Amino acid sequence: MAAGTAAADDGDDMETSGSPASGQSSPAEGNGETIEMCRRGSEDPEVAEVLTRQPATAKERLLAGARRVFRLKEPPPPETERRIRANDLEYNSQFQYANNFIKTYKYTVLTFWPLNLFEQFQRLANFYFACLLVLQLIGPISSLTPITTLLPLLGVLSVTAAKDAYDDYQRHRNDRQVNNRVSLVLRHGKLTREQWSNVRVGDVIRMENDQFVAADLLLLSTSEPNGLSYIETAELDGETNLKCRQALPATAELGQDETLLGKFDGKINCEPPNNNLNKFEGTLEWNGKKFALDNDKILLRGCVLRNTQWCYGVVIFAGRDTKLMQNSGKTKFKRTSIDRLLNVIILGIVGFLLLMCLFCTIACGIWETVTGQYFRVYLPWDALAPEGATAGATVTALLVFFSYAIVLNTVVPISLYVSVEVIRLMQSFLINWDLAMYHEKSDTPAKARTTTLNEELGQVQYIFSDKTGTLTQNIMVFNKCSIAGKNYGDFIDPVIGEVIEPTEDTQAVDFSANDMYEPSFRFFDQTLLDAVNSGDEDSHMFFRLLSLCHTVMPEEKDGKLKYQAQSPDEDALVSAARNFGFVFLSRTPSSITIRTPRGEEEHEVLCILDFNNVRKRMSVILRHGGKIRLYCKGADNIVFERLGNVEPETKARTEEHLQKFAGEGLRTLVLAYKELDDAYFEEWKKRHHEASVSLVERDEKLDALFEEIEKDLVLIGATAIEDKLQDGVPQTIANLILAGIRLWVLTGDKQETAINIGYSCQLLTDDLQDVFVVEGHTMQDVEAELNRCMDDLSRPSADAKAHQHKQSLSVVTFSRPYVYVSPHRGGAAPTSVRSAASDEGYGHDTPEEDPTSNASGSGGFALVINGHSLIWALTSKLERLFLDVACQCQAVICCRVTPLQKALVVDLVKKHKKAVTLSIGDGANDVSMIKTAHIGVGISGQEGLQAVLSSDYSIAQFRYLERLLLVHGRWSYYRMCKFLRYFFYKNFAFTLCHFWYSFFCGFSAQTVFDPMFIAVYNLFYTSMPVLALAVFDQDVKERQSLTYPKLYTPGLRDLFFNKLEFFKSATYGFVTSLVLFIVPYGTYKDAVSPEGYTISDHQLFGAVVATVLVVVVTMQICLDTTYWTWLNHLCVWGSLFTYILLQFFYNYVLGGVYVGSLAMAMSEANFWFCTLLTVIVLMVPVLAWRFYFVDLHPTLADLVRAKQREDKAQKRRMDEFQRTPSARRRGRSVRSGYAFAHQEGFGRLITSGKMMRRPPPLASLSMFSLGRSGASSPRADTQVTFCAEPSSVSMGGGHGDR
Amino acid sequence: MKRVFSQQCEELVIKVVQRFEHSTSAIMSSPVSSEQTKTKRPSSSKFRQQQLPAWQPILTAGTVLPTFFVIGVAFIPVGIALLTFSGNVQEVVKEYTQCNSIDPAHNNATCDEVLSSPNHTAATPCTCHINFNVTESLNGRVYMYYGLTNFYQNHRRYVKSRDVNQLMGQTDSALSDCSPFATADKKPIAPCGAIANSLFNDTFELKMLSSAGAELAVPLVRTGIAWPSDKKYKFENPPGPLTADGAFKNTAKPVNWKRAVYELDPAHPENNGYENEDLIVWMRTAALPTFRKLWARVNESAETFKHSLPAGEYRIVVSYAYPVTSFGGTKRIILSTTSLLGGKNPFLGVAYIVVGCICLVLGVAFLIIHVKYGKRGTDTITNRTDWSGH
Repeated sequence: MAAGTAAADDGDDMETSGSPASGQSSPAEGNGETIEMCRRGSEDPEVAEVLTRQPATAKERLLAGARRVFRLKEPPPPETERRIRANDLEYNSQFQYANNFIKTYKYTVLTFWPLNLFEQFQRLANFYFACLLVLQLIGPISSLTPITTLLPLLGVLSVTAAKDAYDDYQRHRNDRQVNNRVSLVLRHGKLTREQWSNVRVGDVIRMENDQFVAADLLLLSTSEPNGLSYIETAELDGETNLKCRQALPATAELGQDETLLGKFDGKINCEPPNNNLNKFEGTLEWNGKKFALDNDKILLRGCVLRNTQWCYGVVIFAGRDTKLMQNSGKTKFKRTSIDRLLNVIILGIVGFLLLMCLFCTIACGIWETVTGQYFRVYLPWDALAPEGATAGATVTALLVFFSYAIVLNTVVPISLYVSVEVIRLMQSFLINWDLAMYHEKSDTPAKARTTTLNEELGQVQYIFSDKTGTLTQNIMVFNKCSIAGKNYGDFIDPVIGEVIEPTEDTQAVDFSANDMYEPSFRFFDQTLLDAVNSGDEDSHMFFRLLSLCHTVMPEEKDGKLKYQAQSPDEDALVSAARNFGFVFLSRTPSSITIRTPRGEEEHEVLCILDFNNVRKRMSVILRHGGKIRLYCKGADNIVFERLGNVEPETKARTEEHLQKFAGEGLRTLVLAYKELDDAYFEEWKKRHHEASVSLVERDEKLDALFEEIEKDLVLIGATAIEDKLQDGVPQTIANLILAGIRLWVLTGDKQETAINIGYSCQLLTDDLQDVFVVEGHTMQDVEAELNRCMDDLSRPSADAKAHQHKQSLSVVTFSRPYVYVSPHRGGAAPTSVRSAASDEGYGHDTPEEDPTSNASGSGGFALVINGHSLIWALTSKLERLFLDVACQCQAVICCRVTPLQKALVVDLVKKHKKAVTLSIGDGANDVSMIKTAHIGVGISGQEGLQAVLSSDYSIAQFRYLERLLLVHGRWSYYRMCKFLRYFFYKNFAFTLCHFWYSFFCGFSAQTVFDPMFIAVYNLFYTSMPVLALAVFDQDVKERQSLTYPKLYTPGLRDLFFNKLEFFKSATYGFVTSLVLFIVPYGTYKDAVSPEGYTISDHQLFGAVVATVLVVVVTMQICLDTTYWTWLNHLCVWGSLFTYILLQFFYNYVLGGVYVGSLAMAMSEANFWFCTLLTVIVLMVPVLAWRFYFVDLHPTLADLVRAKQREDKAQKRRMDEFQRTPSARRRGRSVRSGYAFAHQEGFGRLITSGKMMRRPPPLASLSMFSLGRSGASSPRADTQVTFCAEPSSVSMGGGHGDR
Repeated sequence: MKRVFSQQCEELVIKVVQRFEHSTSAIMSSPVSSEQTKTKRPSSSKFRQQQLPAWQPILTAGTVLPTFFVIGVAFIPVGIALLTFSGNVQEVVKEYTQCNSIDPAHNNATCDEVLSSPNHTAATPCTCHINFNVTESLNGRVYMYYGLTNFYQNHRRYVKSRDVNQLMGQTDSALSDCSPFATADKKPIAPCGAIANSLFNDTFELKMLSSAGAELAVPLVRTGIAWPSDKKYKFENPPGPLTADGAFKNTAKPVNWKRAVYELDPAHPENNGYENEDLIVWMRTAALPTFRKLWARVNESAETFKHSLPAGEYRIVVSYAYPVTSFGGTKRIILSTTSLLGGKNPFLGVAYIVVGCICLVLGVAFLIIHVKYGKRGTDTITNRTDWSGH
């Protein structure tokens, strides 16, 4: 039955998306829809195909199946082609396209009860109890009044209904909010304000800056030149950088002339609604001409218009047809592993119940034959039973089967589900209320958006984390630098004169003398500013280079200068230069204007040699004051190779500084310049031009040219940029790993960046024995690489040298020769949590640990895999191998992965490892993995609300994850398990009394207890204490859970509640019921009162057993409670009091049939002796058992608890466990890098001049104007004018999302 | 409408929580009022932060071992006292299922055989004598019980077969559960149901035999045998005089009964109808198939029996009308005194002594285990100490 329940529930929820999270997720922000897509397509189109198609079909099949099973009406026949005529309502309405009305709610006031009840009875549990109810209505079978089932069932139904009603009310509200947003629609040639829900296909609407796009539009015209418009697609794909869209030149001319636009009658033929965000196909027929439409001309719902004053567009898809909505998969209802276990257990209980019934049936048959048939003198058989002895006994026995099914049904606890939900809800409140997870700066508390997963937080084995915005703040900070061999940037404490780490309160250098300074910029070394102000040439050169050599675009916003950079690194460098007085003011395709302390300078741009993966450097060639200079910045080893004659001392010192920077986890770049000879440059330029227009081997030729000119450079210095980690990330990761949780970082970033961050957040350490890098492009390569990893993993650790060699080759791909730091050589500080942890092989104490990797005494392994390799690793052939390798590694980093791959990786682990997975991320690109994992956590950060809306928990900072898991998760799991163990115990103890009694009542299904007692036992008499326990109990205080992360491991190993634990509880309940029956039996057999009254009657016996039962289970909860707040006291003693009160109230006031029985019993001393005896008989063994384990085999929690008490007794504060804040200061290989943007930068746009509001005069002599001829297509434009190597374009194409 | 409802719900919850916190904050540090600043900052109340002060008991040798010893030391004397009480109760039990009829016509057959013989009529009960010797006088009040074995008064269908409302005096009750003893001759049976129908109807006279052979009737009181609460709450005659035309008009007597419900106790007119104590005692169905029910008390007002039932020869004259042998039942008659704790029952006493002993043994065993093997050190735990134990 229970398995069926699960299936039905799943189905139910799939159709209705019943979880509150899903309800809120879709419309809350009007853009809160989900995207599952293969954004960052791989270089290999075929592979991309595989990626996108594979799950899509599976999902479709599933959906179709779900529809078949659960939906009564088939969806309308699919659209094959969409035909729209702009501004022609009549024509468009014949196709009945969906309007822009969004509906996510399920019920209306009228349909609520029928629909909701229908849904609820689809749950097998409810249905089961409804059937029981019907059975109870049948006279001959009914062994209990129907009220015993009716009362709890009504309770359950109404609580669920109330919750559903509330959820649906929220959905109504969200829908209304979205549908009522206002947009400007052109109706009859006039702009009218309409609600979003009234926007229809074919309407022309006007969008303004910073507005959300209301529907999928075909862009007609914009305020910007060339019909360009800029959009931010953060809500769609998580990318915060701007993308541009361009209207057709023909329609762009319409401008904002409303009469013209009102008359626009283009006919659009296009593809039917689909979920592909990056593709659009269609044609526009207008004025007798036919235009091809592609994705470049489409604005999608959910985007935000930026830097564009206004634009007009024709609605193509509206409402549920929009790509955004097409992408919003229904939220899958998530169940915890305990839920699934419960289903199995309940199935088992039902089996046990049927067995008991069967036993009673047979026994009844025997009894009726031996005794019952002769007892007919006084008790004739039921009317249904035939007169014949055998036949009568048989029929009676068969009827008794059902009667016992009714009597014993309480072993299947109906209130279990409700209680569990209530507890989870309360636990969710505790999460929401936690001050320690409240982020003061952003005013964001943690929030449990799904209230049904709390205890699973205590069982997480794999964490899949996004990098940008999750581990890091996505803020690059110019932190230190080395200029001409002099190191700047260390903060020296004025008191002690030593270098210390600046804190929030440290006084930063005052830049306010510079009117262009940014208050947010903080630098702590006054000497550098002094050097600049004193006119130090080296520092001037340094900052001049920074202000010139980049592809940043300036922008003026609110009268302030802002920079639009393709990567945050560049932004940081240019900003730094700005604050030090070298302000980058503006650029044209042919010039850069900067302001230096000595006045404004205009540099003529001759060429930009852009970044790419291979070059790892960028140069600009500029002419200023008659001199041609090449400025270059790049990865240290690359630039060092290309230096000319440099003073060896400066070089050595710079290298030393680079080492130091890298050791601090900073990203370094080396700056150099070179004076160029006029004649040489002219000659070189000519060759460059030839190369750039050549048709064969163009890239190679250009590369060679660049190589040629970028040499004999003069070293200026080096920069160190901190990719700022979020607060507390290394400590959090260290603690989580110590708790036995494995962390996988899945990032869209480049491999180098990802590895760099891996080191700085302590996920990777130099103690690691080896870091495998898998970067093959073909299946064979990947397989070979994985197999090699496998070999290494199974090889004993002795031959570390081989690894060392390999590591230096593969991991630190552009760095100085790797300096292997032996863990035994002082370098590894023994105080470091991380190193100590890795010494122990901590990552491997999970159940599926691998003995070989555990054996390796020091270090461990880490795996870094690239997106393009992952494609193959995730195929069915290699996935097991990949998983085996990955799971033996302490840390796994997947870089350059698409959102879909993130989900696939999570799914892989979920599928093959019986482990709980948790995904954490902040952007829309994490949505798919957040939804796939057992638990999705969203960081409520800057990247929009996408992740949060589809998450189950939202926190403001990564570091709160530690508390969410180690404190709340642990407690929730601990409490829930305690609750479940107790709940089964108490129901077995309760129900099995009937079973024992059956031996004395001729197996007639007579109950021991008052039917009313049965009805409310779980509801009133025993619910409060255990609820209090399940909400408030703490085995150890929160501080201890964080100090001793190992306390988390019971959750990982399912120690607190599993089949064995259930069996123990059930057995204990079984024994309890036996004692509960036998002691009163002995006491009350033939008992009389001192007044001579017989007190051995059925009602008194029932009342006594019931009361002793209540006392015993309450005493048991007292034994179980380890944290007695006044609330626990209230609940425990209140519950006992309530029992007595309700018993008397019911019997005396409402006229129960057991009236007087309990009063009679309680007036006799026998009762009290009997109760005391029963309690002691049952509690002493428990006490002995527990004491035995605490005394001889204490668990960590026992020890911690004892320690807690000792500390308290000594009034000594627990000294905070010493973590090593300076862990990252340890010697480490140099990692020099540059965070490349996810997609192509503005290089192309800069040089093409397209981005300029006011195009520069065409008469410019610069080579960039060569291709500029009015109406040429942007792409052709780029090809010719883009001076930087064309490979950068292809790089952009490869990594970008176009 | 729904909106209003959910708003009210929300308000209610908030109010409850606020009140709750108010009460906690009175004890704890003052929480930051959430109204002052409009941030989403959660309240810092100890309740919400799970910092309520609490008693955290842990199992240590210092608490557990004394518990065992205390239980052991306390239970053994209590058990001995209970045993003493039970032992002080005097009890005479006589089974009479197979007693012989004194009617010469029956030719020394047992009453059981007489009852089951085909030519027996219900109107003439069989009479038999139980003679016994009380060697030691029964001190204190003496109660007379009848006992049945193998009689399933606790069978589900039996227990159910009554009408609570009818017994409370409602004449229009549906009698739904009473079938097949609900109606006779289309008139409702009063009282209906299998329980009432099977009312125990043997009667007894207790006689003290003098050595001369003279019989002295021991006065028995047949009232005050039912629970006062039953009489008060559960049984009430219908309005009207207790006659065939009064309260019980248009009712039939139960099939097995010789007399109607209003004629049960001819000697005491008020002890008739549903309020007849014999009926009430019977209607309180026994918990187990072996049971005893109070039949009468020895009247203490009589001079001879004021404080005891003196030692001597006694005879019980049984009017034997209730067949039990067909289903293997037996019948007993019991004379018993009571103690402060009720009747004779050594169970509790023995159980207390046993449990007490076990606790002492456990206490000693654990003391040894603890001293020899107990792990006490908490100094060694670090953040890397693994989770051991079960």
